[in-house]
Amino acid sequence: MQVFKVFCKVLSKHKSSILIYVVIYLIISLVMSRSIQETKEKEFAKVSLKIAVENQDEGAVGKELIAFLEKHNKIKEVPADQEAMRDAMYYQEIDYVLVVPPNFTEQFCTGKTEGILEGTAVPGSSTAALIENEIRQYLDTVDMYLKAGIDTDRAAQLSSEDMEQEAAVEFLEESDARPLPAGFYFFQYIPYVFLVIMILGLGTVMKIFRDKELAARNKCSAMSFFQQNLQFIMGCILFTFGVFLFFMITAVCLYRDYMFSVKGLLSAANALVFSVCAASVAWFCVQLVRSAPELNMMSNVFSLSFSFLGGVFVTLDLMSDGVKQVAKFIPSYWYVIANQEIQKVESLADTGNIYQSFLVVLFFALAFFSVGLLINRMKLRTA
Amino acid sequence: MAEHVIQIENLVKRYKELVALDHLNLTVEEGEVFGLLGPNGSGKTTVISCILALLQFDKGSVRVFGKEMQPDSYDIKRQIGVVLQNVAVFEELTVQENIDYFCGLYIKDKRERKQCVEEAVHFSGLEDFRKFYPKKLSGGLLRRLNIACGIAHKPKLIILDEPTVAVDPQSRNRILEGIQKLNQEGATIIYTSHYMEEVEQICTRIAILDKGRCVATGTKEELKAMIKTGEKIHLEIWELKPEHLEELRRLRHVYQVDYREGMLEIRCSGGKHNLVHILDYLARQEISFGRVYSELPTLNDVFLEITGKELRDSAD
Repeated sequence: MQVFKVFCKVLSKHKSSILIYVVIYLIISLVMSRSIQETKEKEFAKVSLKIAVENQDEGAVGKELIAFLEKHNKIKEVPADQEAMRDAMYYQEIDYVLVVPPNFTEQFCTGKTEGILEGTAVPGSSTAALIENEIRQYLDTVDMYLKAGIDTDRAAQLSSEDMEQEAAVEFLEESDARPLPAGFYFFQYIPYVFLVIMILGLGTVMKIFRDKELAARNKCSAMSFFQQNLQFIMGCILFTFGVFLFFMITAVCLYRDYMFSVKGLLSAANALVFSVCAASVAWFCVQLVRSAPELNMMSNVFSLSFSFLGGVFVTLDLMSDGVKQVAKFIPSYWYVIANQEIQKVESLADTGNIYQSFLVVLFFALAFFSVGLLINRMKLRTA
Repeated sequence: MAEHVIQIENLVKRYKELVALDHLNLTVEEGEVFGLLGPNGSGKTTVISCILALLQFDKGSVRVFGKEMQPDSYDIKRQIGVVLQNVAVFEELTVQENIDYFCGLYIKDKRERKQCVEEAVHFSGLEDFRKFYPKKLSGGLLRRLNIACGIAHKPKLIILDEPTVAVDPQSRNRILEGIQKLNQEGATIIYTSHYMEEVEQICTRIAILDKGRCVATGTKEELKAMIKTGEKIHLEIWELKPEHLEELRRLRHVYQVDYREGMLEIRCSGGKHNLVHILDYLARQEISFGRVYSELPTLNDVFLEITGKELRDSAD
């Protein structure tokens, strides 16, 4: 097992560069999954704003409007003068200043709806638009009741009741807006780290063993080519499977519930298939380079291009149709498709097109290996 | 009669239009230090590659230890040690690990291998560098490691392809002494080089290659006897008239006279007392001279006479 032992020794000498990528990946995937989860949770929370209100109106509409706004926002007193108001807005103590002028209800009932309220906000503020929208909604509802012949007090009261009703938002299963499990994000970024590790780790060892002088010395030896290749392939398989296993153990530690579900099982299978493909890409890259720095460069080119184009870093929904068509010729695209499909799976009996994506990734693995073999043969002939 | 360790017959190797080996015939006998001498591009490394079945040749045959050499002739390969032109070791392994790895490709038994590695470390004088990684070694030590990796399994036939390129004189001497020691211990050596001094120093038989052809084979004495030059005499003379050169040329055994930048070079075809005759002539003509020295022909002279060009720095 001389070749196998040296394979492991050589690999262990390059472990630091691989570990750097592993650590960076774990940090990024953890941070990303956490931040995306938090963003999703806050997405539909009702925002409470600070509104300074001065009601000079004695009528029902003005009173009910303030009462309506008070339900979801914090109502504050209007600052004493203009300078104090500007300071309060500048320091975000208040988001909006609303002045309900005298006889507002009266004017409103006569059909004058525009320009009868005085509102002040920080220029370009999105919160101002939100408040103005709420006010407009309320007043439109009152106006609708008034036009229906209902008296002012009743219209104001009914409008308040209507505005209290909220539409229940229910996510459809297909919707992308539904929060995805953190485990999904862990697996989403796996193509990048697998490609980097395989090209840097496996690629480096392959390159060393393919060195012209070392290869010649090995060929001159009494150990058969078959034995040498067998031991070398064993090393490659062990490394590939070892990398896969390491990430799966990490996934189990971080996302236990997810990993012990059907989704976790399928995600692991998807990662295993992609690890084979990444190993094949590493073999292909080795055929194209002459030195270690070139291999390093190649690892960045392949991992980043496959990740960006394949929808690993940028979701496929944001990509144009043209880019998606190109992405179909990249294995990471099919990995990402499978990863998304896996999130819809509830049982192993209902896996949809996931296995088809697995097969496409395996086809890419075969293609990269074959092209690499072809280049290798051509190089040997011209050597 | 000694057994042929290597027998090459009519070997032809072409790289497209270029004929690297042109109907080459060679035999190496057991116990020899056989030198392959030739300028860069003469085909030395190609011959080695064909012997080791690293290259497929177009025509001819290569027999090693009496058997046809094939890529899968592992029983033959077991008896061959190879030290290639460029250093071929793993940068990631220490000196000891490197020797152990290459030895392990031949010897499976751990105990036997350990012994062999130990002997190779001792032989190459790398005892103090066992734990060193190759990049920490000097050029000379690296060459010694390269040799240790090739000979650790105690082969019967050792092929060394220019093992002293870019090595300091001290390390070069150590390497050459080591090769002679290996030969004394029973190994047959094939040594390729374009350094004629090295080949003259250690080789018992020499083949001179040029453009893929073997232009001459024999011991160094036999090779030198093949050429016209028997002696070269150099004299430092400040002034010499053309008529003097003409008269010198007419002296017995003198066949070539060159006078350049105050140095007179006279080539004599054998004979005795040539220097005495020349000095006597100069004394009679009252021609003053400085340094005088005489030398026997070198392998470079052999190569020069046979091929019409210098051996050294005549890269194709």
